[in-house]
Amino acid sequence: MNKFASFGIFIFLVFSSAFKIARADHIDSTAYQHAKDIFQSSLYYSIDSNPEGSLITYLERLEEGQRLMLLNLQEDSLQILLNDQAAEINHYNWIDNDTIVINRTNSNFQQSLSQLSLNFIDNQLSNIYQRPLIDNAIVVDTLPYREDRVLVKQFLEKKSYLYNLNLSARNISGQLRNRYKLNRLAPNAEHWLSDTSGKLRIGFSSPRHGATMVWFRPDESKRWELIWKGRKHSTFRPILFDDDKDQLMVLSNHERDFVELLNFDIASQSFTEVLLKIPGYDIESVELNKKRDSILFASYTQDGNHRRHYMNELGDFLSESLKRDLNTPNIWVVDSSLNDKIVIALKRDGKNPGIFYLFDTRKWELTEFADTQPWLSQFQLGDTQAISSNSSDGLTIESYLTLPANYKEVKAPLIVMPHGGPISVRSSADYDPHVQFLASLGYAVLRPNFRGSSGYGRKFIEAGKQQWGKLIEDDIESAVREVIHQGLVDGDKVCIYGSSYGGYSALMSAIRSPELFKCAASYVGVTDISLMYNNDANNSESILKWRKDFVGDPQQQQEELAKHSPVYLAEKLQVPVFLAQGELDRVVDKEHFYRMRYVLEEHGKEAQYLLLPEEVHGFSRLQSYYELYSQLDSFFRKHLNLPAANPLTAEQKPDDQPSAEDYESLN
Amino acid sequence: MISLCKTIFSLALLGAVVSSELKAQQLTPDATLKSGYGYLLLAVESLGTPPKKILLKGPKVFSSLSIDKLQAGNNYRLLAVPAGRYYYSQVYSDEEKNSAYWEILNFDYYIDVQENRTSYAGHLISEMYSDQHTDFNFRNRSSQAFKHIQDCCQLISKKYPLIFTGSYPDPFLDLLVESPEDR
Repeated sequence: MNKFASFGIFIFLVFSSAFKIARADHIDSTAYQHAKDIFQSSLYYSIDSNPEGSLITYLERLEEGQRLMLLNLQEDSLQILLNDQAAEINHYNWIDNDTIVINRTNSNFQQSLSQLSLNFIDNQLSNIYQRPLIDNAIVVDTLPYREDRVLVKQFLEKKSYLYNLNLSARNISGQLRNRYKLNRLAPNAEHWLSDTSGKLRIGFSSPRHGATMVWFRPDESKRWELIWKGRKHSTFRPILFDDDKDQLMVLSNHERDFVELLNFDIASQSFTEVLLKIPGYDIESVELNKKRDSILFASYTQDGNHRRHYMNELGDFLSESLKRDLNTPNIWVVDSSLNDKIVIALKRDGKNPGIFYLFDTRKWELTEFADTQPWLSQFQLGDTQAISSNSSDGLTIESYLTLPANYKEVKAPLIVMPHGGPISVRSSADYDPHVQFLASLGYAVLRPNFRGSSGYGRKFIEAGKQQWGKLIEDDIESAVREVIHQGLVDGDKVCIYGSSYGGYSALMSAIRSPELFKCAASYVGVTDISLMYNNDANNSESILKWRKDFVGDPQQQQEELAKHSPVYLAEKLQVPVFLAQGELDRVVDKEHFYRMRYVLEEHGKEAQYLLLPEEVHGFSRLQSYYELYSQLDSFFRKHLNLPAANPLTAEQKPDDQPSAEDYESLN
Repeated sequence: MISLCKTIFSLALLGAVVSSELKAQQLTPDATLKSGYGYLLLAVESLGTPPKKILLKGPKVFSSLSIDKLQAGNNYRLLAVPAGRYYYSQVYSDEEKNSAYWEILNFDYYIDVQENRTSYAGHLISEMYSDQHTDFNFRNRSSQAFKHIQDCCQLISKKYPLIFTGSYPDPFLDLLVESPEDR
């Protein structure tokens, strides 16, 4: 690739939040204003091309709502296709060269599909016709081999039904009659794979903590057969059905430690071929090509960085070329037009939430299309490196350390940030606004992938079983001691902060190792393990069974669970605590917050509280993040004895930044 | 003969229905329980429109309870009732006698009332934003129940201590009872 040309759009940003919020004391603080910059959502997203690669569409976020934009590559013109402030556009799909199906959620949380038909005269858009299609539905398959056809799934009260809709027909409701339900006589599966004609051939259900069930139907005249019933803690995820060979491509770790891409022969119900394995890593997902007949790439995480293994020649060749020409390992082909004329590539890493590129394979031209968060370039964000440590029992733990840009001038204070879960969840070195908010204010951030985290194989996950407050916290501590030992951070200025399980871990780590941490912050954190069982009356048997196995059984192990619950250990806390909670949290009920607050007050411990009335598990409003992070910053600064917040900006000279003397003068 | 049986059955049924809904009784602070009775602490958090009435089925065939006059936020009722298991059964959004109601079909939404104790098993969380957006959950918020009992009915709680009787054991109330101010 030797020619780069630019024909695209340059987009400048003037984006200010117009949300009105209750005025708090710290609303004018530097940290509050900085949080507004860092936590803003991406301006551009969901970029796609029509099948022939002549039109590009993308969503542009507005102060209220968003709009669907159309870039006509033949005319080099940009137009608004849809301006929707009343409903949230969740997703859209090109069905053919002039038809789009849009999935929207209205203010009553109801989802619906609508059809957008575009008319062109001499390649110019002349008019747009929009009509509603079906409520409570999503697109399952765009059926690229069938013009005007789309496979949709409608969610009704107890079951979901699939329809093969003809979008060129005037009457849509007639196509929803009972006899057109494709899965009318099928098992109650959640997900489906069709053959190229749109006939359902595979159905499967994968409850989060239950057994995967997979059914197959040889043809429409035959009955559905159960071809797989999941084993305990085993992954079996159908990806692609090959109707010529009656083979199923699956992601599975059945009778192996890591998730691999395998061929499963339906007749013999056995694995016949390993298509791809990445030694030492689970394959996390795969992406199909636009024709939906082969795999574009398989994704995995190596040293914290997302990696893609291409199983498609063009994707592989282009990705390698882009990496070389743009001098970064973090650019990938993520999509293409059906005819491969236009390829969409994404550059993304720990400091950059994403820049989209368009590559025209006919003209051999690359264009920077959209920087999703262009305002971030004004800040100096932190670089991330992988760290390895040995836990108390010798297990190797991988963590990611993000250092602030000024780490060479000032040894950085450290915020340890254990992830939630804790089982089958992980941290990565990918862009994370929570991390970069802190890094751009001068903190180092450490994210350990303790035992139980996903991506390191089945044995590593199993090692996290019933280790709440035990070996998991040993793993975290080993990572903290390692970065201090290597002299990468200031070992006298360490706080720990996390959400959900991470919040629990922050409190427990501070209780277990008061000499290591100067403060602890728990955001929507579990504080009493037994309480998780009495707040889950709606949970299925399989979830309760899994929880008893992986966390502990409150009927058999009550004393053990209490011994590892912060509520019963509050007396041992020797450092200040920050608790943040949403009143409408349905995952970690506010009772966890109330209990911890009660015992902290009872024992006269130093603590700060933030209880937001409209918030849920993982705050949903940007204002709540501004509030949380500005308060957290002031909490950390107070207890780590740090100078006032001053974001590291791109124009800042070293003299403008806090020096080692500024830090020492506070000690 | 058949006609007489029908009449007797109808009268018995009428009597049963009339006696089946025991209205919540507010008790004096020093009320002493009858033998075989315990206190039931009912707690309802109302989000959205408050329910008009909530029914619970008692341990005996015709021993339903009802609570009404619910307001937005937390609502508590302390009732002296025969010991046994009480299930949440129906939530009415309207005061009309024949109005539609929601059935609570989850059999984990119960309180086991123990004799000579004040029993609590969770808050019923009622979310009634619209007919399409209505949900009920049952969540253990015993720290809030404890605070309420301390504020409203200290004499009763001294005499008939608050205990948790939900599906799974929860030692938190024991911790509160052991805390300095309650010793």
